[in-house]
Amino acid sequence: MFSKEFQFFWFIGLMTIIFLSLIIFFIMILVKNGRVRQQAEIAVKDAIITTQEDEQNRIAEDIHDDIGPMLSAIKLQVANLSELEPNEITQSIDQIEDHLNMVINNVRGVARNLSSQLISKYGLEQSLIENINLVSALKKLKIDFKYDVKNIELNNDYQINIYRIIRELLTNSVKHSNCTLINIGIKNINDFLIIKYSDNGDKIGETNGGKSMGQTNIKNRINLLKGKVISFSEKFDKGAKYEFHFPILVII
Amino acid sequence: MVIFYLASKNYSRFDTPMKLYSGLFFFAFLAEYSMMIASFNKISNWAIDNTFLMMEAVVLGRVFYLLNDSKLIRKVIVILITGYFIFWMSQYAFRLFDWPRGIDRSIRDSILFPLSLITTYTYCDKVKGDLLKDPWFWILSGFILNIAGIAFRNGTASWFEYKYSFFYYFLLVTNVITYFAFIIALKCFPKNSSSSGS
Repeated sequence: MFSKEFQFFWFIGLMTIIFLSLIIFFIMILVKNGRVRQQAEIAVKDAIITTQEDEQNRIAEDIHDDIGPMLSAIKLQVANLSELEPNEITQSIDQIEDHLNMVINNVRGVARNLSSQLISKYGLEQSLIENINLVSALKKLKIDFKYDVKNIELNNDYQINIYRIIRELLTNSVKHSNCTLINIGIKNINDFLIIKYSDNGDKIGETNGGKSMGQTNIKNRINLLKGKVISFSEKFDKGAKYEFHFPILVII
Repeated sequence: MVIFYLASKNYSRFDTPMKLYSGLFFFAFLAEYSMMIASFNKISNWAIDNTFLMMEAVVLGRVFYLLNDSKLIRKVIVILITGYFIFWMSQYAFRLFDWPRGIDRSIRDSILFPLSLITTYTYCDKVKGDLLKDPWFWILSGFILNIAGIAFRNGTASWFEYKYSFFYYFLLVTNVITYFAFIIALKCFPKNSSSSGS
């Protein structure tokens, strides 16, 4: 057999080799994780910027499409007032008042969409109910909304993102689909928040070649919340169907 | 023990691996220290030792299986662990107790050590957040250190003419380091799975 000194030398040598190999292994993993985290941070920042730009474009579009034409119509009506007969003026003023009310409602809608204070003040459920009531009243739609989130308290950023996703889906259905019925369900199962959304529209696939507006925005927000897309209607003929699962333990 | 049991109850994101791990931890703690005490009192039994090591390998294999997404690695894990189990059974079935001591342990270590490295690497590859705050990073690191320590002890015990108790001290130090890694993992657990937010 080998001498005690020789055995001791090999014992220490082997142990050092194993120890150093493990240290190199862990350093390798940690360095790689650092790079992945940097890339993930850049991706999240990109997503935030893209989402903000989409949001600004959408607001500009709302103002341009809804408020702009109404103000133009009011301007024309006011310009024509001097040419009207006295008995027609009262009728025209009534119309102007109606149009002004619609503009005010639209401005309120845009402001409500912009403001995240609404969510922090009233919570996700109440904010969604208000938005749904407004949309269903304006567009004469039937919206079935079920909210069953129990035993958890979602933080403000999380609620804002969920709110914006639902609102984006609603906007898509209202603007680009010919739907009459929308179903929205939000519930939590274990550590996941589950959102189910469907409508009976039939136009998104035809009008936009399979890509509805705001879908990129929705996907960015899903990525931001580390959510999982279970179903996502890119192109469809008989209504939209979406299902998303979001981990509740998520770091934004 | 109680703390780890409670942690496993509160931690539901990796529900099954966590429960398995807690069971293993509880079992390993009792079994290893019982064997150590038995060895000091010269009442240790080779068959019981090997049975414990086999059971530990099977549970570890199951944990590695659940933490790996790759179908290929999962198949390899099943084949290797089944092979090891069959080998362990064959010792009793064919009365192979005269085989040189350590062969089955070497097989076990040569299966578990690469598996722990692969699992740790593939798991850490998936983690997008801070790895040092991820409980499973620490648990898997603890497994690696423990398996490496046991493999080193098993591998060198038959080569070096040291007292048998020396290797139990070595095992004790390895376990202390492992449990230290597990305690850090415990600190990284979310406090309550039902709470939410960032």
